[in-house]
Amino acid sequence: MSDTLPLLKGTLDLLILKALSVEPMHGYGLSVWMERGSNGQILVEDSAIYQALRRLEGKRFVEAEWGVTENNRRARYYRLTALGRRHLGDEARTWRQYVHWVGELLEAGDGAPS
Amino acid sequence: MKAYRRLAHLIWRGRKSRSRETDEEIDAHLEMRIADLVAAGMSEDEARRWALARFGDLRKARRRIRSAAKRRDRRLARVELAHSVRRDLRVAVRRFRSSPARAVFGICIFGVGIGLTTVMFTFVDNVLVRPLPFPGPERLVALFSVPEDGPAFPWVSMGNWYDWQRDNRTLESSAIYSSQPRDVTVRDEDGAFTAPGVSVFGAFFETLGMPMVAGRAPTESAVADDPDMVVVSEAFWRNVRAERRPAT
Repeated sequence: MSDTLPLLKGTLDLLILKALSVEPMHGYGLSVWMERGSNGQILVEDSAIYQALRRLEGKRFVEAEWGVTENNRRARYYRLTALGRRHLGDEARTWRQYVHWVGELLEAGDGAPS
Repeated sequence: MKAYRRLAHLIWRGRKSRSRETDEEIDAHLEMRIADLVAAGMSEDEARRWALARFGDLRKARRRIRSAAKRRDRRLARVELAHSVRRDLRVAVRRFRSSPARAVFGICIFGVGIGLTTVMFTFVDNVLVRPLPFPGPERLVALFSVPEDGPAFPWVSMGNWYDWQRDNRTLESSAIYSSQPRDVTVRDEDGAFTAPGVSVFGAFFETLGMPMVAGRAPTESAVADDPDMVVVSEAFWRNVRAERRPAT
């Protein structure tokens, strides 16, 4: 896993919220979603996903319910709440601005950003 | 009601169900990952190794996820409590607005209930729980007359008391007082006023163990000399003195 990108603090929560904004998923589904979506570049220990999910449940951004997978296996499905959706919007905006300005600063060379 | 049940569930969900939730979820996760890897052509053993490596140290992970779940439940319980309290308050305000008379009636009932309970408690506390404000209160007893054919009377005749006094072999000392309060007229330079008083007879202050702060004690011989002798409380004495003191 050494040639993958380290996950910045707070990003995991954001990515989970994004994934769940499309459809309810279980933890394994989230892991696969991140791996495939980033072409294998963003990898987290699977256990970190479950810790993040508990945290997001506590903040009432997601809700969980036991369900059954396509292969008839019991799994805990997570769903985005209205509160979570709002939070995702805010966080995504902040993140984009952050990325934009960090990029600008890095491109600036010696002088001030253009 | 549903909210309270949910709250109770959050509080009592407890360790056992949290660790069951975590274990079951981790097992499902590993199984799914292994199944996918096997489907992609890996051997079962290899797939298991991979899945475990991807998950991270299983023991540590379990502990961390469980404690995250505990924090989650605590947090949710707090939020739920705040919500239900707010909801109840809203309902209360709405009910009050829709029928204020009934609400006021309800509040009065509560008020009376609380008042009566307080009175009852104060009574029980003063009479039964808190000791009398005299030295050796456990050695103080009250005596009543008991006629042969009836309940105890809450009073004693003077004659009976004299007989008890004479034949007594149990009590260190005894005194008698009148349960009828008697207003006493007090006169000083400015005029007269009345103060509540009680008639007592016998070694009253000696029996209670209350020494005189000043002046003579109303012993039997002292009373024989001066039948109208009066004992005032320290508070009364101070107040009258304070009122008499000229304003400076």
